Amino acid sequence: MEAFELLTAGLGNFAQPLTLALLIGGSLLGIVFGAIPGLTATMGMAIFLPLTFAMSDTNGMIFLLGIYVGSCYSGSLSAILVNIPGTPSAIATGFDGHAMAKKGLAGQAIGYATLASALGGLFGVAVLMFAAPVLADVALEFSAQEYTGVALLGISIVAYISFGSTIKGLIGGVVGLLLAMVGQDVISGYPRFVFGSKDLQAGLQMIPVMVGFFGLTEVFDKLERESHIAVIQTKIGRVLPSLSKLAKLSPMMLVSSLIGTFIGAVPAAGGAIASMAAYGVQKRFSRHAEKFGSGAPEGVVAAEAANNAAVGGAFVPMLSLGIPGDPQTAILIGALMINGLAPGPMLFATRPDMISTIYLGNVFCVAAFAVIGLVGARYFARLMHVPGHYLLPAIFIFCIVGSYAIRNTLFDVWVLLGCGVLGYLLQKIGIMPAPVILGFVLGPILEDNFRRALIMSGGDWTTFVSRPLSLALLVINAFIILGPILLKRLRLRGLNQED
Amino acid sequence: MMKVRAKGWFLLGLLLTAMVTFTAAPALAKFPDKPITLIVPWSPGGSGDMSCRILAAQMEKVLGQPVVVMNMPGAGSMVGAKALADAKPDGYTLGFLGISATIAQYTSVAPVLMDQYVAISGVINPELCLMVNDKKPWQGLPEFVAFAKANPGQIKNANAGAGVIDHLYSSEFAKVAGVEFTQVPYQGWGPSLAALAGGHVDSMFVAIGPAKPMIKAGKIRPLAIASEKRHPHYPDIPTMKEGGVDIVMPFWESIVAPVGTPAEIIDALDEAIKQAFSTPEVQKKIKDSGLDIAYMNTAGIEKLRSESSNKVKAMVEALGLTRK
Repeated sequence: MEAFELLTAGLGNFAQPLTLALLIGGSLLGIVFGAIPGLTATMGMAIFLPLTFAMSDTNGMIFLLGIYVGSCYSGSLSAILVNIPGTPSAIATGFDGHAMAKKGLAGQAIGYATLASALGGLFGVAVLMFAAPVLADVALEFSAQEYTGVALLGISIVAYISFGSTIKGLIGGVVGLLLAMVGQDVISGYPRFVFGSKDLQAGLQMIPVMVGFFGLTEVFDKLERESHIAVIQTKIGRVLPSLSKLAKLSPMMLVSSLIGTFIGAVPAAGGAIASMAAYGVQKRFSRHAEKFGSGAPEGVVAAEAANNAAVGGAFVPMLSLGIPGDPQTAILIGALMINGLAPGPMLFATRPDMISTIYLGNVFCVAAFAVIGLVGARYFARLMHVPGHYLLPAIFIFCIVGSYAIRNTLFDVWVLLGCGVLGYLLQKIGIMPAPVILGFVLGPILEDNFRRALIMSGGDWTTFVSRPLSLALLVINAFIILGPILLKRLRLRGLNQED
Repeated sequence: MMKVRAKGWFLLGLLLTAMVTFTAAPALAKFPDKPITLIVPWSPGGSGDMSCRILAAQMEKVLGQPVVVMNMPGAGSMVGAKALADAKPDGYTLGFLGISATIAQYTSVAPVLMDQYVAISGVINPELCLMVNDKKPWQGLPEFVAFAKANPGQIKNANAGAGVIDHLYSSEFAKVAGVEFTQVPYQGWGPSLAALAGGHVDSMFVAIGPAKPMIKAGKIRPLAIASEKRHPHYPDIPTMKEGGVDIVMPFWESIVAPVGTPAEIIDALDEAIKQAFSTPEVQKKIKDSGLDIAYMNTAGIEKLRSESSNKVKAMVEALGLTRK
């Protein structure tokens, strides 16, 4: 009965025209903020937060939820259409999404991304509704040792997402690690590669580095080839995949959603790691691993189901314990607290309608972006037909504006330009942006937690295997690295025996 | 005749209007006549950002011009401080710099010194509080200290990063109480609170606001607050002094302007901030949100600022974190 109340107590809110308008408006805003590289959900939510002061607490929450959920989905649009992920969590989406678009399948790619996002999103909310307290306790068990294991999992993926040469992929990963080292070390406070500059002391920011490596690199690359590349003028076929294809992909979506929800629930891991981990796992265990990266719908689906499922996951520690899983949920906590509501078990008892509103709001926001995405897919896909001499300058401007807006400093624009040029040159010698960014994102997580774990254990290395969770993660790591090789052996042996 | 009289009335009216306007606000007839920017050196969503957004929304009503919050995070607030110090001292660019900027004077490789900006008003947080994981047996500060004394280095204390305020204060606490912690640095209070709630570390010195949800969830509990007297909002939390450790840990922010901003503009802004604070609307938000910030006037915050600066310098030197 109580659980039922948690699901339905807020249902009445959604019958209000104003609430619905805020939900759709928030989702649209989120889609815009998510799709434009450099504009982030965090930024959008912070800008619109004061607006919610004038709304009822549930309406304010729905509006902010719309921005959050919408932007998590729409990062995929720019990744697919122009090969520039709108948000870090859409990096993996671009691998196959853009490859599909280049084949003239932009509409379909958006269709797949939208459906996978919607299913992933709903899966995440379902887990949130039914397993939040249990999952929250598991997530709290995560200490530095376990974070080290998760980061290792991500790093081992570098090898798989480097299409082409694995060695070059690893070199790219190291470039990313080096870039991530710039700035003041959290553990010791020591400034590294800072050269007496306060900007460098603050470290390189995620957004300018990512937009530089993906966005500008792409712009430079297109500029070079513009003269001898014909604009693809294909008819946009059906957007919705066939039911049989969908059925074939559904186990994959489920696995990705599971990975996404779980990684999302671990504080500070987030959608970017979730989608890359899911993509890496799917590629590693797929029978058609070679198709990944060349426009396989599987790749789009794997990444998008995971990063949207991570949203539901992020709500788990937020609602049960008041721990923000990512910067966006930090703002949602702030919005709750301004209204005198502290997230945590008490909120479930005192304001079941608010909990219900968050659950249902998530579901309705997913529905909103699914409709907007599927209806809009044909129109979005036309962006592919815009000639480069209109599109490239526009992208260039957005990259600069976005990088500036993240902290309102010109320094970040220089970082953007530097990373763009570096990315372009590296691409020339076969080192792609993805492993660089992966190294950049995961490096600090791995380093800080590794050192933190050793501080806590007093320098005892067995701490990584004496904790059950950490051991389990290391075993999973070993399985992912060695599993496919063993599988291949087994299959070969099976074949030999049949002969 | 009529015409002349009308003209006379008109002139008289004009004169009266002019007199009223000029006597009411002689020097500030025009301030502010365009939007004001408030530089916040923190990311959106944190408690500092939240305080600024609440105050800015109300200051706009008082001043009649928008007050735009601009986030410029990085380098222990030095990125934002630099932008503020470089801004024109005309009252249209303000900053939100507190004790972190005071610390960064000594730890930053390219510091913005405190004499490059002046304080308008103080935004005072409750002093830091010692929190422990709820499963730990210590019921009060004396027990905690006794355990720490008997087991040097056994207590793992989480801090928000090397050179961050709670790192300095907790090290100072260890010195005053005669104990030894194993310091475990995290990146900010969010991750360190999660580690405390999960029981991976034992203690933490943190503001009450961000810890509130976890206190309510029964994951962590406050042992003592580092203030002179018990905080009116939290009368149940004893002070550290009561528990036998004579230490205070002021945690303040301030709204500042570049040095050279005219005194009458500073006064006008201080008045606006004071008014914004005193509205029931803001008071309710401050209370509900658990931000618990309080207003302090220009003279008060200037005094607190210079006191803090000297104390912080000694703490930074003791930890060997000095860069310049």
